[in-house]
Amino acid sequence: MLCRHNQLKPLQRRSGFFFGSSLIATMLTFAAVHLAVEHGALSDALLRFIELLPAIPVAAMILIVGRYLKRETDEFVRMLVTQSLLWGLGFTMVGDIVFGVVFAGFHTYGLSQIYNIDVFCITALLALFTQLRRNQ
Amino acid sequence: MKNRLRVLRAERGWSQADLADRLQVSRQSVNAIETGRFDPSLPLAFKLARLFEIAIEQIFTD
Repeated sequence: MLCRHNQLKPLQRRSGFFFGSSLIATMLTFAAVHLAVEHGALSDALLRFIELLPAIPVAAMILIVGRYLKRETDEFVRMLVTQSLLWGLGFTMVGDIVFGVVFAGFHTYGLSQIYNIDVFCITALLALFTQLRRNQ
Repeated sequence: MKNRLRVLRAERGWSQADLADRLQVSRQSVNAIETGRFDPSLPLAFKLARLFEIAIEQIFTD
C-alpha cells in the first residue's frame, strides 16, 4: 500500500513530517492561547499577539500542502490528496455548524478551533487511506 | 473512457508494479487507469503510447 512508510517518496515523507510538526505546533499554540485567556494576567496587546500565534503554523500547513501538491509528479495521487483535503474541509465545516448549534450558549472559547484542526486532519487522513485502499 | 491497458500489459508480461515503475507513477495509478476509475492526463497518455509503441487511440477509446 502506498501509505506504508518504506514506499513513500522522499517528498511525501518530508511533507508528512513537516505537516505533522506544524499540526503539533498548532495544537500547542492553541493550548497556549487557551491558557493565556483563561489564567493569564496579561496586557491586552500581549493577549492579542498570543491569540494570533496559531495562525503561523496553520499558514505553514497550507504552504506545506501547497508545495507538496505542486511537486507531486503522480497525478492520481495528487487527485486523491486533493479530494481527501476537500472531504476534510467539508466535514469540518459541517461539524463546526453542528458543534456551534449543540454548544450554543456554553463557554467554549478556543476549543472549537482546536477541534476544527483535529477534525480536518483526521477526516482528510481517513479519506486518503480509504481511497488508497479502494485503489489497491 | 475505456482502455486496453490491462491487455497490453499482459501481452508484455508486466505486472502493475512493473508498468508503474516504467511510467514513474504509483501502482495505484496504474490500477485506477486500468479499471477506468481515473483518466490519465495527456502527458501520461503520451507516455503510455511511447512505452507500448502504439498510438494513443489504440490504447484509449470513447
